[in-house]
Amino acid sequence: MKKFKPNASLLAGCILVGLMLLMVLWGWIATPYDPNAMDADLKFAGPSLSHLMGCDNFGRDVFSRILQGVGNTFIVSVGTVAIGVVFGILIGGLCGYYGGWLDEALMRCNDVLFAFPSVFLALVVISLIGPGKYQVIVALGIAFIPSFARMVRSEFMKQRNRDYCLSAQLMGASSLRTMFVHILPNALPVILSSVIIGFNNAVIAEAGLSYLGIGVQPPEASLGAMLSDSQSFLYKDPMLCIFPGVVMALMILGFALLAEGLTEKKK
Amino acid sequence: MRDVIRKLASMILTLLIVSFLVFLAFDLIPGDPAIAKLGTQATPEQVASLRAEWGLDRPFLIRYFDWLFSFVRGDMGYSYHFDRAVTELLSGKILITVTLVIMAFVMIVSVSIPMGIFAARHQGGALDKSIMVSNQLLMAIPPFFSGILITFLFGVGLSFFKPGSFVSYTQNFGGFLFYMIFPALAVAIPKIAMCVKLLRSSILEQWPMDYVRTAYSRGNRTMQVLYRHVLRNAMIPVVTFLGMTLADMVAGSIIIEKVFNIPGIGQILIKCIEYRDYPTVEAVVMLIAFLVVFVNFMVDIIYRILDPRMRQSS
Repeated sequence: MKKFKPNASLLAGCILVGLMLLMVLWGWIATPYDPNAMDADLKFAGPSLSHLMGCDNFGRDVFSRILQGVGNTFIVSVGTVAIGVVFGILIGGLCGYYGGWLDEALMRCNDVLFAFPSVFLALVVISLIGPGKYQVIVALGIAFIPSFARMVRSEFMKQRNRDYCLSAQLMGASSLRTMFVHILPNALPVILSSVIIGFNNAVIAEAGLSYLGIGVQPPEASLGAMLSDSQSFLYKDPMLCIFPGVVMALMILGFALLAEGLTEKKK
Repeated sequence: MRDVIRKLASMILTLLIVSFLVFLAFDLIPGDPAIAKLGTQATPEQVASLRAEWGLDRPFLIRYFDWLFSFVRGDMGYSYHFDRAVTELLSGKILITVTLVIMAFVMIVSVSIPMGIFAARHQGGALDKSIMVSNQLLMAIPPFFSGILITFLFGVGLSFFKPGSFVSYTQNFGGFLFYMIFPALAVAIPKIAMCVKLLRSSILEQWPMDYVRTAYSRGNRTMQVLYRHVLRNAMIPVVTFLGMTLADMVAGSIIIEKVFNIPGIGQILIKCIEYRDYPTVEAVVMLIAFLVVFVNFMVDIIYRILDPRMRQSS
């Protein structure tokens, strides 16, 4: 038998995600400089006390832009996961609770969609509705529904025949009440850990789409677009790509560790 | 055998449904390609004649079946923006993207399987621990960032290749393959990390099982137990993962192609999304859909080979 160990993954994940939330808040309240203010004298300025991460090719403060970019990534991820979870719970819940032809039909469609990579699905939706921050939320959200629906469905199927469900029904609870008041709270722990994995995937997907230039539109900052811009200056100023890249990797790492810590804890 | 035929039929049905939905979706969005091509100053007669030339004035279902049948015959339609047949536009580019994906896939399989077995055999050791930690880090680096880092390290720093200057396979096939190593590496790295982690935990899950003890008690040595018994079972989730990875890498290559300035399917797709060149987008979507469905079909077949229980149950 293993001795109880403090869960290092969970702790590290919490710290990284906490730091990210702090950056998001900082970016919302006030960035040190205007993220779009250009200063010709400061083009490619290195990191210094007044400009923590230096300045980019237009002389804009990189740290301020990263704060704004992290904020944008956060908004997109929250929106994406929210759409995925809400529709996932509705579709997966109905399918898992009722079963039958509804389940068969919806899950067939779901399986087809599930087979496609989410970035690809999002690209198809973007090609229909056009690029932009809110369009990306919708596109990625739709792309995330199948995996949540699948997970919620199997959880609802497991819970549906437990005693507490049957007794709730005996006491006259309607189907909807049984589903959302009785089953849903019991399914929450499973949903929670896939929500965190969802955040992890959403950050990666958002960064990829904004790197392609179809996410958050300039001049607003996003980590992916900053990386894409910095590529032209790899010879001149490699630091320009290091900062947004590392911040992005730390965000992803944070969510991954948090998810892993949570599953470890359950075992 | 009957199962395989049934799977094949469901694969074709899936593709038909996807093709109909894709065609319908691109038909429903507002915007007339003829007006987009001619500009807003065009007279209604000019627009009408171009629409007739492209066959846009026919009813929806006729256009769908026409598109579908010519697609099956290898004619993917006509690109409004590039003024060329889509088949011609894509033919050279498919090879590039497929090369990238295959190279990355070979890297993933050849590195992660030995590494996963090694990590599982030395579970808890210093090397295993360092593999696990570096895995966690590598998984967190999105391919396009590792692509930029690779460009910086091997391109700018060590000058192994010239960043951004793609070598065409028609001019210099060896140079093309060499250039593709670096993007393939960028695509492969996070997948290798995931695959090592999965294989390691999958082997460790099998190890306490009864059949392992039986195999030992019949005088097998550890290596024999591992390769003849455990690995066969432990590979099942890995095969699923590899199948999903193959589909995922096609989507991932869209992004990596931009990092390394590779003129593959992805670059065309992004351009066509920008210019609203729907026939080309539809063609690329269908090609990727075909690939995804085909890979899933192959994964199913491999399952049956690996696991005799699957052959009986269904």
